[in-house]
Amino acid sequence: MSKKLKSINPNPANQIFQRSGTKASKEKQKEKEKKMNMARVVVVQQKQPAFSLPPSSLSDFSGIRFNQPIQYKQKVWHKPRSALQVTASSAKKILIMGGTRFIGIFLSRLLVKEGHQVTLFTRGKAPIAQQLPGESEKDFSDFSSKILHLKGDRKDYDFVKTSLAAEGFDVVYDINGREAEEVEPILDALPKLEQYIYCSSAGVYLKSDLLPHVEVDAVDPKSRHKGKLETENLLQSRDVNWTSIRPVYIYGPLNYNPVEEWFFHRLKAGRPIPVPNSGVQITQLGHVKDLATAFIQVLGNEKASKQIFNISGEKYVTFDGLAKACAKAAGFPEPEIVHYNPKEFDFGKKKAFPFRDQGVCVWRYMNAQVICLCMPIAHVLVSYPHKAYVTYLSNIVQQIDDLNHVHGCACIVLLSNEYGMMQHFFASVDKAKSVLGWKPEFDLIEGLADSYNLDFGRGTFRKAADFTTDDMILSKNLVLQS
Amino acid sequence: MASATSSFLFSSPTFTLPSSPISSHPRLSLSSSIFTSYSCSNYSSFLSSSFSVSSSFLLDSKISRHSSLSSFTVSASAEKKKVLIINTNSGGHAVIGFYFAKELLSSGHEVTVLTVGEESSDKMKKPPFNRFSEIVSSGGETVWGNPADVGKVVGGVAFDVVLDNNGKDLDTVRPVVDWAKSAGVKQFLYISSAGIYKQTDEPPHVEGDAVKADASHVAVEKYIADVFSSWAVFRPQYMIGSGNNKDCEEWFFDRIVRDRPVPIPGSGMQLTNISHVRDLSSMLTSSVEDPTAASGKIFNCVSDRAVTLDGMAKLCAQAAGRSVKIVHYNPKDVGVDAKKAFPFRNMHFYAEPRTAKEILGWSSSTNLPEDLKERFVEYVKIGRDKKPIKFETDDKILEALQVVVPV
Repeated sequence: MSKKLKSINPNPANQIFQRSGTKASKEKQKEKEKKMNMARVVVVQQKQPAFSLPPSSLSDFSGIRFNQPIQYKQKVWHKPRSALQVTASSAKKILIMGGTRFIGIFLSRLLVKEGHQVTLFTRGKAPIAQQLPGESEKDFSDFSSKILHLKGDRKDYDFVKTSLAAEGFDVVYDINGREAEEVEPILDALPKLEQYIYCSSAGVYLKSDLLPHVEVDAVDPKSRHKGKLETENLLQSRDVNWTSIRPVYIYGPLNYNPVEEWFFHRLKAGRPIPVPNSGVQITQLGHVKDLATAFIQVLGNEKASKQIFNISGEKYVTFDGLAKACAKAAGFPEPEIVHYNPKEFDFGKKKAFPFRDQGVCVWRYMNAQVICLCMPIAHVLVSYPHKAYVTYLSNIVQQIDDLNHVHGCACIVLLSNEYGMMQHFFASVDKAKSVLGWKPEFDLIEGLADSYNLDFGRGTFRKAADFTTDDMILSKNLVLQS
Repeated sequence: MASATSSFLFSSPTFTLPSSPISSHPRLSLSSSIFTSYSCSNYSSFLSSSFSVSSSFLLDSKISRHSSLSSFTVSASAEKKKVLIINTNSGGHAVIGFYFAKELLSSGHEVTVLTVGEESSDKMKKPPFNRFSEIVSSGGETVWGNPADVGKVVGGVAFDVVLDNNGKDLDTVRPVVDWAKSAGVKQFLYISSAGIYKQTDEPPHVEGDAVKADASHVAVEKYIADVFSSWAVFRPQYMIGSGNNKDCEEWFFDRIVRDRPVPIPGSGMQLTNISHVRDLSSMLTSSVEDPTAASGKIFNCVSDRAVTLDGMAKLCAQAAGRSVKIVHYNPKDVGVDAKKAFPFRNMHFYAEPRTAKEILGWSSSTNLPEDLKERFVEYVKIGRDKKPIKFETDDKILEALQVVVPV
């Protein structure tokens, strides 16, 4: 295992989202802190009415690095071309569905800092406030003293309706909603709701030969994310001011989805990185802090009313490129990348790679063509007996109108792309940039460095390293030449 | 024996699944508001309006203090310009000058096209040159000569704008730049190439990304920026459009209509950008009509959608109403020069037109599925589907992969 190289030094740190930096920049930051004139905030007990802080105390607040103003300021963008005005708004009573896992952790802090009264609706399984890596004691105690908790199960629709109606909220951020029916009681409980801001997913887009996905593109009613789509449709059909955000792959410190972590484990262990197929598949990562910023920018923003925005990084990345970027960000030497054909392996339930090769495979069956949208189909072919495969196939096909073509006959002619099921997946963030003036702070390597320095690099991770599938791949030695 | 990294991908255009990912839908929208005016209409003429601006953008830096996003301020210059286009006499970029000339003329500007070489040359028998009468009948001038002698060729005519759509290196462009400067030309435009971007793991290529230091266009771009204060550089990729001098989609059509397999090197997943030339023309026209905004800018002169090589083959097949059989191969294993065997780069080569959108309020109108249908109609009209063609390189590849070709 080679010597670890010096970590990338990101841009000067900001307070809440403390980016690690060199000692010099940390000193600089401390100086900055001392100069800040923070108003002493009254500790708010639960269930107290909303308060509003005088603007001056917040206009100084310690450096969340925004390129754009937060509430309280009327400001013209430095680029007059996009003459956007973020209207000043007073403190709001905000409900976040969820908020203790990943996105919400960062979003809730931003909202609290802005002076809003923020309540998290959770079952209480995770602590309502957890100190972020790099978060100062002061900031954390400030946050934890202000954040409110409404304990409950969002699937208990009666409880949702009564508790929300009793509280009355101005704005709802729905970060963890999956199904449309979960949203109905919320809308019913809050007829005067100013805005419903929903965390959807770019996974709703119909796969296409033409990319990037833009917000007006066709969506796939049969995708894995159809619950998100149904929720968007519900919001559109109801008389509510809604905004929907479609992220792609989210990353950053505390990511519970082992995206960057998967690479970091292998880099740390000095292991080669197995990448399926040719490694040229393109995906897209967006830093959680940039996503949180976008969520803030749509708040009370008339430009966001009834609008959908893709939010992710400005640049896309190949699978191979991502492996290299993780290494660069974390200060590891360039990794050995091993390509393999996933169809030659049966990984069982284990995921051999953090990204879905969200592809389409075309199968010729009895002179008809059947499109299978599910990744597992290859796995089925390899490991299940013929009859079960046919049944499985017909179950899939039943979702598709051309049912007539499947007869359950013995002769299956299977013709598929050798590199089958590869698909690029990325979305344009041009709309958010031009309409909201939003812009990601982090480029990929900076963002991965931020994640590494605040999370994995400190010895924390969500999922322990598991190299079972790696070993299967490496031992079988059926590697494709890159 | 070549290692067979070949594969077969069948797609039939008669396959109509309601949400088939293979067939390309017109872009559907659930949301009531549309961000980009994504036009799906067929452009039967290139005489599109010279402003393709969506209302959420403002054109010019001189915005009236009272304008808000909902009002649409047109502050671009309404002044008519005298434009000189130095046009190459062959290759993929030749068609750019043709469309640009026509669009400028339809907007009321004065245009002279100086084509390199001689009017009597055989090269002039090919499109777009064999259609130059269209420029003349719209009031444009067409002349021929050596760009190094541009001053002599155009006589004493004074121009406001010069577009060099010819030179790839400084030796060729410098005389044009120098003459333009001395002749009082106000704005200098240059067709460069997106091919100069350094390869990246993080597509797309955006303006400002590193370029290959040894690319000859780079020196040209620098020189223009040094000499002129009002300049703009355009970096295109691949184009389709009637009047194209170089094959693009035809390469696919040739094989599809003859029921031949389409050999695509590598995985077929390589992303590229194939734009209708009217997009390039509209971007150039916007720059002429809003020189202040365009000044000092580099523009990726492309549509705003990428397509994979496999995707392009499929779209061509759909446009032709036929099925396609794609065969992948490794050029090295088969022993062919990929550059000669296939018209597109064997790597991700994808740029996005971000500056044009941001700064000029430009929007793309390329709609490959629809545009290719139109292209196929013309392909058949000129009888190219019946033309006997030899597929020597294809045959070499297919033989190496032991693929049977139906007779």
